Amino acid sequence: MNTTNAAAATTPAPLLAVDQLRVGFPRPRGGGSYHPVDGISFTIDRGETLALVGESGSGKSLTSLALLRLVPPPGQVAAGSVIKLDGVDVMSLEGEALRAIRGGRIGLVFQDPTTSLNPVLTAGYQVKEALTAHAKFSGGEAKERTIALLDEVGIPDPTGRYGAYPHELSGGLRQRVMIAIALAGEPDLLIADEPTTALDVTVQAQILELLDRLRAARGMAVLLITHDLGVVAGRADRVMVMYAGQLVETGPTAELFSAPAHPYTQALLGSIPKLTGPLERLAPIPGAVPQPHAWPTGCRFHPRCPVRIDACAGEVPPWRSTAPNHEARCWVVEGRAP
Amino acid sequence: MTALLEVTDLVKHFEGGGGLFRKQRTVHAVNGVSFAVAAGETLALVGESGSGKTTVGKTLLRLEDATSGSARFDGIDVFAADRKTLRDLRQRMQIVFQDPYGSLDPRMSVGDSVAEGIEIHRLLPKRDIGARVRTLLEEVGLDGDLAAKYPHEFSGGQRQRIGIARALAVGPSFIVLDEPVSALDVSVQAQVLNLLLDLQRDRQLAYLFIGHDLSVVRQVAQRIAVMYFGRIVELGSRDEVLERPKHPYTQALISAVPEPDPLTKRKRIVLPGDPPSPTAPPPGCPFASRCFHPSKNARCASQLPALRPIGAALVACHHADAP
Amino acid sequence: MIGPLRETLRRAWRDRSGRFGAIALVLLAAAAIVAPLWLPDPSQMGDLLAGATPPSAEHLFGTDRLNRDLLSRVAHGARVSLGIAGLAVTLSLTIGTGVGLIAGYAGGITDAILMRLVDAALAIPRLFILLLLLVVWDRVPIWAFVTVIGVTGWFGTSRLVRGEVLRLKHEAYVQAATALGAAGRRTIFRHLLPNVLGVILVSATLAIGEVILLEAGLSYLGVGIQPPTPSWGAMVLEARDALSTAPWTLLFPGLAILLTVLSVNLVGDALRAAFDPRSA
Repeated sequence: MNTTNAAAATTPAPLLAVDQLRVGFPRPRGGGSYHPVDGISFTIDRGETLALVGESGSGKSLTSLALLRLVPPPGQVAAGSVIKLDGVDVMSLEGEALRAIRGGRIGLVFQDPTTSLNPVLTAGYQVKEALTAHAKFSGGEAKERTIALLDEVGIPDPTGRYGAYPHELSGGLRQRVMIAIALAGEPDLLIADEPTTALDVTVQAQILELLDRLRAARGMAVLLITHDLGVVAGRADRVMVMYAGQLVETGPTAELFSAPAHPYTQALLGSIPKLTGPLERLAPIPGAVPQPHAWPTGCRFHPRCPVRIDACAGEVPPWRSTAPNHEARCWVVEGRAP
Repeated sequence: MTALLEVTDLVKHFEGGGGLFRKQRTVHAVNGVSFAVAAGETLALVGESGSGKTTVGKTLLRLEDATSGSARFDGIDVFAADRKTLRDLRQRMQIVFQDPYGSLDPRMSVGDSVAEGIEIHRLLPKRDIGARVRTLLEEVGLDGDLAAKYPHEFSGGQRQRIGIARALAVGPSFIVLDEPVSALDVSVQAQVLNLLLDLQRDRQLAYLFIGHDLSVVRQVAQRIAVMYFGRIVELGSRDEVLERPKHPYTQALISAVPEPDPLTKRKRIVLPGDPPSPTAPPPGCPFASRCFHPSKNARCASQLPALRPIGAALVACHHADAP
Repeated sequence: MIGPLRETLRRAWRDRSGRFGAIALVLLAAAAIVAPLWLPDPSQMGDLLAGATPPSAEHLFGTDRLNRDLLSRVAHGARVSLGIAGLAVTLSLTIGTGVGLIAGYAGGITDAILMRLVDAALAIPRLFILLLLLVVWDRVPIWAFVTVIGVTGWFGTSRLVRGEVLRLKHEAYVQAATALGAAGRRTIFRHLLPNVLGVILVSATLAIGEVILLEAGLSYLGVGIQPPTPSWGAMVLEARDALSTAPWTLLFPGLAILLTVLSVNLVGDALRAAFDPRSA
């Protein structure tokens, strides 16, 4: 692990600082490009859990790929995007240096363990592969460390399971293997992209518990990407809400849930079924999520917003703070005096 | 109220894998399920993957043949029905599938898909079908003009609505809803759930709502049956099951549902391990290997608990009435 | 069904090599149709003493050793080749699709019996059966040719179609049709057949190329189409000895075979890519 800033600062510098991240794709017909990720800025501190919440079409998965420069062509991270890991500009890295970051500093747990694991290689082999990609180990030592890693992610009988093929494992175990692969390089930041979506509810609980435990034990930061607000409520320190390629609200979890500032966040919370509390008819958000090649002007949520005013269609709203560290990008939100 | 649908001891085993050098493996998908659904009400069948809930739905419509057990719809024996009776039953019992991307024939216009049931049962003269299709599409919240378009031109939520319109076209009184919103986006789920509730009210439909998400089920069901390993482990009214769960699995299931409220104080139960393999059913209670009940004992592993009344619900547990 | 089919064809058209193949085939077919109207009689021999003459203003492709106009012979040969291929493939596709649909949909014993039949039939070499024709006839009539090729060529298609049907049977929309009360026949014709069309079309284009080569090969061996009916294979046979003296007599029929089979394969490739659901 490198520390470029040896001098102690009064507040520790964030582990990851992202500024105006944009990902562009060329338009299929005609010139120009469109940006499914359109100007995201945020920071993650060491050891914290930050949740990125959005529906499909919000651009959240692309964001995670962009951080590792894994955006599939013809898409690419647009010029002007800044991604700084411990002060090092990720955009400027190439070759070996870039590969070292992938898995070594930032680990990525992909969405669907069924399709993300190679079906013809054993679980143990795939974890060992990740392990040896970042450090040199002898054959025997690599296997030992792999088994230790499998044990750390809670796989029962890790020695026996080392030789198991993905199809012989349940969904929960496969996801644990994915997490083991992501941890193999001892990353400082773990990005979990919808880690529980394909899993049963009781298995989800197991996996989320595991991620918490690993985070505490290894001092990692976690970027949790999900569409499930329930998953976020229990596990994240801070939440960012993403809509149509942009962030619309950020804040501490408790704060955001008890006093959501942005109309989209409010509408989302109102439209999801809850297990406790008064039983009311759900209030769906009218309309549909806009497509990336046809973003609305001004505030992108305005066509569906119940409290929109004239200004919303015209200009992109500024960030307004409603409480310390709690901001929403909305014309209608009452900001606190700075 | 006499039940519209009565299911008794439904069993479904899948045989497979037999061959010259391979052992015959039987998948015990459904292992004795009994329940009833009254006209106009919704019974939810809740369980995780491998619980057998989808198989139950498919057997009721004879999309799979039950291994044993019976189902009576309005007094008619569904499994013994001959061809003609089955055809009539298929007008009265319908199904909506989970996957919006596979449930519509990609080579048929959505109007033709919706009209298919009407054509098969010759419910209307040809010239009136177009108008009926338009009405149905509008009833599910879609523009009637879209009838000539093809499925790939619609979003997941819209396709699900079309699937619902297709099921309604034949005028059923009972619909099996197989995870109807599980594959949909969060903000679309609410739209489709509300639609299902409105249709139920307007047309007096009975639903068997198959799902895995308890918070979704809470919105639509009057009664809930919790399934584990092919059996019902708890059955009762919605509030009874959700507020006073008696079976340990139900308790774990409820505690695992992520609630969008960070202040909810709930006992967090994290179940270890995985359910037993469906090809090797354990002799006693299938939940025993993961059960955390303080009174769990040897009897649990050797004797299968029967579904019995405890409080206002039916529970399959030897110790659910002990503190 | 028309909508998605048109969309797929449009997608196939965008593929440049597919487009080339399709245009080439259309031109060849046009030549075949137009041939008897505008071109001289292919069996008309000119000045026998002149023999094979190189391409000239009068004979664009030159003449063969019997001083017959080569362009006309090649064009008329197109009728024979394309005609035989078209008819034989239609026959084999129909049988193959029918067997595949039934075996795939019915499953169980029916499927097992049909597939074992296919296995047995595949063991009999096609060429052998074709040669048997010669035992019966001195001059094999074209209908016999077409029938035998068609009846011996459906096995691959049936396997392909059966495979697709087995996969499609479990799709939700097929189950939905059953749940709506659809009987077997309706399910097969309205739901399964349109969705296996892609596989069938691709199979067809490949089969056409195969049959053309088969016919050409047989004629080359002297056991196919008999003179004076022009056939590309026979023309190549005749031109064998004249490679150094009259290369054009080999070149043009050979090119015709090459172009036709190539075009058919290009179209088949483009169609296969266009029907692939992943590219949708």
